[in-house]
Amino acid sequence: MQKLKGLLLLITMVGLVAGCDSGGTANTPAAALKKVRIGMGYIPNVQFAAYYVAQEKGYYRQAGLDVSFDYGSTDDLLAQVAVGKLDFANSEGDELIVAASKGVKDVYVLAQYQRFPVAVFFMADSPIKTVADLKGKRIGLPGKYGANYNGLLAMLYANQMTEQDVRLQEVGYTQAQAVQSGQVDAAVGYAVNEPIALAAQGVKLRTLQASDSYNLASIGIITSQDKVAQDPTTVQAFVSATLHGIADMNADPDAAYAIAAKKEYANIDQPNSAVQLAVLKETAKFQQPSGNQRLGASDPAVWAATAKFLQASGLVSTQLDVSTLYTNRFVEASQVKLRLAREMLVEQSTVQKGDYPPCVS
Amino acid sequence: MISTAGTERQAELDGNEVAVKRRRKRAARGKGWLNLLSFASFLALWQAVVWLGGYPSFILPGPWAVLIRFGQAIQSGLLWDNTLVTLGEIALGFGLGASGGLLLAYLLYKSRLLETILAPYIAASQALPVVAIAPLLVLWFGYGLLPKVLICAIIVFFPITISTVVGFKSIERSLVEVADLFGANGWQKLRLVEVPLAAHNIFAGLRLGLTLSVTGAVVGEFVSPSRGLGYLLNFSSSSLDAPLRFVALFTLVALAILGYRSLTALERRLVDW
Repeated sequence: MQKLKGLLLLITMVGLVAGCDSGGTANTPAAALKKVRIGMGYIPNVQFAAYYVAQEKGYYRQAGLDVSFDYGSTDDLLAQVAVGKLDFANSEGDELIVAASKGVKDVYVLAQYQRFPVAVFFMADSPIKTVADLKGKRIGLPGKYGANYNGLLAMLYANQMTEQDVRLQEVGYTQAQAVQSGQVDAAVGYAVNEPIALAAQGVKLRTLQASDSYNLASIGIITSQDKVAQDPTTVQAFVSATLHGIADMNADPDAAYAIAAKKEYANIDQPNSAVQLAVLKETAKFQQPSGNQRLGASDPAVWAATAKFLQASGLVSTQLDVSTLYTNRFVEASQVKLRLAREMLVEQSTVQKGDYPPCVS
Repeated sequence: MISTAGTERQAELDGNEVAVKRRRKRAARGKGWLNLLSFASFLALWQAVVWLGGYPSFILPGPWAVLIRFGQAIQSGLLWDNTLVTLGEIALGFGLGASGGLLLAYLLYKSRLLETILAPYIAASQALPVVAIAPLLVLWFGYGLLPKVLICAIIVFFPITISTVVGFKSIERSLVEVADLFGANGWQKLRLVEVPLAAHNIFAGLRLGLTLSVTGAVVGEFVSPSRGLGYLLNFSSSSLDAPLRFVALFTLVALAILGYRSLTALERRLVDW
């Protein structure tokens, strides 16, 4: 095995030297890069730091891709991917199941988040301690749609409760203000966003995580079934590069923030830097696999549970074989490349500078 | 030879003109002080509401917090970068909507048949809520600049068209006939008779259109928020940065006022001579 690793390392080093130019790192000419677009489903944000890291460190370029990020609402993302208007989307597994039940032919190829990032948050002095305590309480949420709604319903479902057991109030995207001012007893939001922003304002909160009650298939990379069938090379390249970005972000959130805060990405100015760094670090926690789960891989049990909940809640009315809606094949292949890349770095760090051409130093 | 009486009369007129100019300057100064006083009162009332209501900064920041945030946003380049983006969308959207509106208005004025055919569709274009069709435009034209410019142009188009048509139709028919008698061709009639006489209405429509184009640009940025003041509104909401939200709002208001005043000044220069 050591001999094989050594051989692979040698081949890779020879390849790097052969492709070296006097400028430094190996560069794929712009003309040879394949243009791909990914719909992000939100505004430029540090929550997308994994993608920004992959872009900034050249992982996409090395994979032969010229990636552009399209920011906007999630409403039409999956449909746009299915018809080929977008190559990829950053969207949610539960949304994909609902879309698939309506005939949208997409597939989930990388799990960015391992846990559903929705949480119910409330003031620290609230009598609410468990999900059961939400009974009869006023709960604010943006609307009866999307991840916030699904996450809350899943929490209630896991505790033998329904929407009728609580008093939902649609407050738009003012959940934080609604909780702080006492207009609602609790609110639903993204655990990586509203509670962090509110805590930064000095408001003492407690949260109940949706994933602690009932984990749903969460945010990841989605592409069309056609693309997987006809252009698996591009899918593999994109998944590998993004997985590398996720791994780097999880390993060093501060360095990832330094990239994400740049003007060309999330463009964070100094007054917001502390809050946004906290958002990024919280995001990294949701990207960390636990137990035997591998980075970026979809958990079949979570997908089955998500489908079961959606059908029980009436959000999906058709029977679906959810195992066809996700695949780990690209992640598994990426894991091999990631391991090799890490081993190369370890090998390089033990070699004296100057022994190799500039592009490998 | 100018008579003594004539010289005296001229001096009287000159004196009147100077007096009128002095009165106007005094009135302008008075107006300026009044504006300053009302603005100061507004700031004081705003701060009083914050103090009395005990509102935290992320719900209702005071004017001082907003001013500080203005400074930070200017210093970091955040405000300028995003304002430029929105300005570009406004300029292109207004340009497209205004040119289309003016051209269509003239055609409707010239052709009764065209007006009869198109009038219901023009009215319908105004009735359609732009926030509802904006996502469709993004779906059809992508996430770049084009859908935002189109959203802006759609919002601007109707008021300019209607105001211009009304302006043309208010021209006394006899004046156009006189131009015909003098052998003016279509372009001469348009340039020398129709446009000057309809100018006030045209500029009224343009002023309304320009202020609405600010709204249009923001609607476009809400649907496809990569950069711009609409993006800043979104970002400030998600990060509970209410002072930044106010900075973006006031900047939008300033753009609208600047555009309005510029067109008013242009109208005075071109029309009120």
